[in-house]
Amino acid sequence: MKYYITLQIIRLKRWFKEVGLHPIIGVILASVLFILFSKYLFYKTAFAKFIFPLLALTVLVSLGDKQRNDQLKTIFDKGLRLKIRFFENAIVALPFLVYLLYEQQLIPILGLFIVSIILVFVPAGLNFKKAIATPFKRRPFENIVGFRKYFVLVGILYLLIFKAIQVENYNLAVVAFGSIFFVLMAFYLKPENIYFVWLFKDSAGNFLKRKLIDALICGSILTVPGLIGLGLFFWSTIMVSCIVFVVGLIYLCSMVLAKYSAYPNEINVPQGLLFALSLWFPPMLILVIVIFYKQSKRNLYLILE
Amino acid sequence: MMEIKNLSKKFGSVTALNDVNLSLEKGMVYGFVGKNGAGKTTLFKCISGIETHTGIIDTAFKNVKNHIGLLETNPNFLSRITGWEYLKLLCIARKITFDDFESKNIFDLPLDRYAETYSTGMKKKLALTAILLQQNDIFILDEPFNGVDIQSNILITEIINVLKEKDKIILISSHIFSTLKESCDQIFLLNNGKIEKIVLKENYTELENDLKMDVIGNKVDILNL
Repeated sequence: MKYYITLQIIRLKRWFKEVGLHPIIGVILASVLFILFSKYLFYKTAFAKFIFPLLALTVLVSLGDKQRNDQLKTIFDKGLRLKIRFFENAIVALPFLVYLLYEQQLIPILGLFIVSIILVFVPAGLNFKKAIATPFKRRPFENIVGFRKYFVLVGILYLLIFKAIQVENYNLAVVAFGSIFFVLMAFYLKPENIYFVWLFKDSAGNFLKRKLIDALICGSILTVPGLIGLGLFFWSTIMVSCIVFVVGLIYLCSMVLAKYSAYPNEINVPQGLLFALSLWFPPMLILVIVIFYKQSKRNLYLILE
Repeated sequence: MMEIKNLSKKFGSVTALNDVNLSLEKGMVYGFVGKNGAGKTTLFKCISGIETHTGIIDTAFKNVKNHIGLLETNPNFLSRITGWEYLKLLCIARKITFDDFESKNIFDLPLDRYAETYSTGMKKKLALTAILLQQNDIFILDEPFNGVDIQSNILITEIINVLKEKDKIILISSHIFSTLKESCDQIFLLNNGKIEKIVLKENYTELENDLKMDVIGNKVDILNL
């Protein structure tokens, strides 16, 4: 077990180095960002006590993935495997539990604690043998993969919109609606194998155009029903909803460009900072998009032309 | 026709390919043999443009990579993508609108299932089907017979014969010499990133015996079985 944990630490150090950060600085930065984000979330919405444990749950579920657990089964005996899984879940859940304690949210603490323990023993995730149907069958691949990965999260956000409409809380509805765009952006976080870029009979510019059109079409398919719901039940604020929709799509496009601006590597610190800057100060988005587009075109040119 | 002139590739200080020169004709099948690490896969990746390299690849095509169907040793599959969607992606990439894939499913693959759940052989057959649907002019098949059942091996050999008749250029690597013997017009022996020998059909048996001698030698005796 000690060697396994050491290996995971080595992997984490390597990851930090790959994204251009010293591991110690990376850990400090991640901790500060976690605290700031948590404070912001609890300051912004009363529903943070539900959203916050849900965030922890998404990480716990990915750790408890059946395929991953099956791999652990082939390496370790049952006792050692359960110890490892317990340790992993504790490491992930602990910061969330501590912050929830600081916020004195006892019921979410209890819920998260129980789920963390259950997920040590029960493989998580939905492992369908049959493929989950998506509305994007003819437009592979990011949106198909992303939808199948995050459809539960999208469903929860739509449920939140529905609830918000019921209690006539526009703020909650529009936050949940905007959050769908963050889920859509997650579709573009991981770079695909170079083969899946190489095989395209396109110039770099046309390749990017194709990816952006796909993102806009699929992003709209997933968000327009929410926009219609907001429009129907909060007519007086339809302009705000439309602005969130348009800005969300623009951010989605900039995420697509961010992915290829670092390609074939993962999005690293410079891209991440630029993107964060545009989130903090939206007018920066125009400049960020231009920079990402130029970098993407340069990276793709080497592979496609 | 495809002319490869002085193709070299280095990974840091390690030379993977050293001054490779090849002249490949239409309607010919070329085999590549060599030990693990001899440079076969690197050569295929350089020819297809996935790896950068020095030297020249001269063809009649403006951008040769758009005419190459590359079957990798271990084909990559995106997670949560079905066989059907994989075929669709590879067709879209080459601007092919066809999507009645069931009618072309000669290997009887379960196209509605996630490709990542396929067996090794099924993955290879799916990847091969995809590059065949792309209607390429050059086929680079890295270990096409590896992990595939006997029935499909026979089918793949026949596909290679038909591609040859249709004037395609076909490059194959295989560790199973008999499969190359059957399909190839010429075999290149790669060693330490260099083309060590070009062997014509009439000399295949001699090459096979040389390879056996080189590989086996007295190594089994060392074990004192």
